Amino acid sequence: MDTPTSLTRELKRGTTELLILAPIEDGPRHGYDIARLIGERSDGGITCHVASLYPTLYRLEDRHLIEGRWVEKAGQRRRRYYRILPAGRKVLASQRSV
Amino acid sequence: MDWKPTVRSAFGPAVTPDDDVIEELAQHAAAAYEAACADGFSPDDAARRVTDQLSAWAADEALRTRRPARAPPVEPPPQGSSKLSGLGGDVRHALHLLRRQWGHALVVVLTLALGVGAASVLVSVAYGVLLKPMPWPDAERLVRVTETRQGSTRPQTFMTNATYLAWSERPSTIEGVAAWSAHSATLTGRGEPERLRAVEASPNLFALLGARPQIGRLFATAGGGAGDTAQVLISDGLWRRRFGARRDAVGRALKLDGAQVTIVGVLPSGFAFPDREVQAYVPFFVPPVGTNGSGGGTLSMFRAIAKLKPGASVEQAAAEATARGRTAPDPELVTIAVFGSKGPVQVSVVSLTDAITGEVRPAILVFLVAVGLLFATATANIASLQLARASGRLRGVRGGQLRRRARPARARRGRRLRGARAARRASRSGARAAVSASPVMSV
Repeated sequence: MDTPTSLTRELKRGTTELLILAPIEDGPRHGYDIARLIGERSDGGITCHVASLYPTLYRLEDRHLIEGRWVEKAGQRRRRYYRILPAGRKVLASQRSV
Repeated sequence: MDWKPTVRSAFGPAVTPDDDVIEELAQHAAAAYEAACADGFSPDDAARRVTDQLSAWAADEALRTRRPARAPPVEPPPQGSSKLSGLGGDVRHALHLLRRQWGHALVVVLTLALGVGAASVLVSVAYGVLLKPMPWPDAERLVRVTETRQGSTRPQTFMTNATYLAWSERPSTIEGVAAWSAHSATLTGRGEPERLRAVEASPNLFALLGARPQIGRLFATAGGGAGDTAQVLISDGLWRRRFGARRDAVGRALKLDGAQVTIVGVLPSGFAFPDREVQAYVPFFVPPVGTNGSGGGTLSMFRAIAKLKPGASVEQAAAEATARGRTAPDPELVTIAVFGSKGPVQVSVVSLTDAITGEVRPAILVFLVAVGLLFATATANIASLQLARASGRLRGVRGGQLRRRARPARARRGRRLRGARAARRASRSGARAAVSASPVMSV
């Protein structure tokens, strides 16, 4: 796992990661939901490039900022939900204060 | 529509993305397709939009090479190995599933624990009370003897000395009958005074129960003088507590309710009659019936047990005791006072097991049935939980099938929306044309 200093450099360069951490701060969400929320909250001003969505999610997961888990709900096929981890909350808070 | 094959083909034959990645991207593709159709795009346009996204995904190296961390698969045991060789792998797989679905596992474990716990407790009680053999040899031949008078409505739990002495002379259905009576006594003379439970017992009680002292001796069967009653048999618990389990306790003196007694023996640790609370036994010699010729006199009453001879039944013993009792001296006035009736003697003989458990047996059996139903309910609840989870998965699959059937309806709705938009565009362009043609307004 990267040190916070290297993460700060990376996240300043990649605002996509910050955009993805924010929607899952309130609760676990799956990939399509994250993309939809980013668009809604920015009133369509920001469109998260779907091509970069999943690579970014996997990158955040590898850095233990988020955790992905397959969840099976009644009436649905299993979906992979992502939830923010404490390290991710710290990064989000530090980015907001920058 | 299942997007997984489309997603796989987008990556090309040379690349094999992880199955979890394929499934996740396929779900996103399906959601994006449905959203595009809902927005009014034709199915072909919606599919083209999604396919463009797939192409972008397929070009990303991170998606092509991602391998999510997973627990290693459980390999089957090698061929030719023993039947137990796969047991370790099965246990590991089970533990892995428990960790992954800990909430469900917790519910199942708690439900089973409730059922198993309640069942264990009730079965233990039932066994101890109803099924566990009594701690005496030939306990199935031990019977409780009670006496009443015909016409008496008072419940009786005692036997009189009249019937006892009459039946004791050459009985044919029993090996012997013993008398006993429990009371509380104060023990003094060694250490702190102690209130304990004591039993007065006829000397033949211990022979009927097959009990032998671990040290010392039992009471002599004949006697009745003052010296014969100044004896005591103590329990193993009292012996250890008061005398430190020393063998020289036999012969020592104690005082029970102020009367000096000598320890003649110590009973074994497993002996308990009528219960484990009794700490001391003193001899009781059944006195003869005293009558004064005018209907008065004295009767002694005490509890009694007997031991049937092999082959004898409780009915035969009761009949013999009744017949003998009716020949005994009868102080009528005392009989009326005690029994409320001066009718002829009626003796009842009941198995000692039935006498002890008779009142609680129905309640215990009801509780056993209840706990069995509770356990069955707990098991059914778990089975229902499993079925609900399985049917939820099945509905998810069927829901996908239903969504695929509903796609033509959404396509029709999309065409209606496109038509409405075209109409609005046409009306706006018509309005602009009208305005631009007007010399008054401009846009």
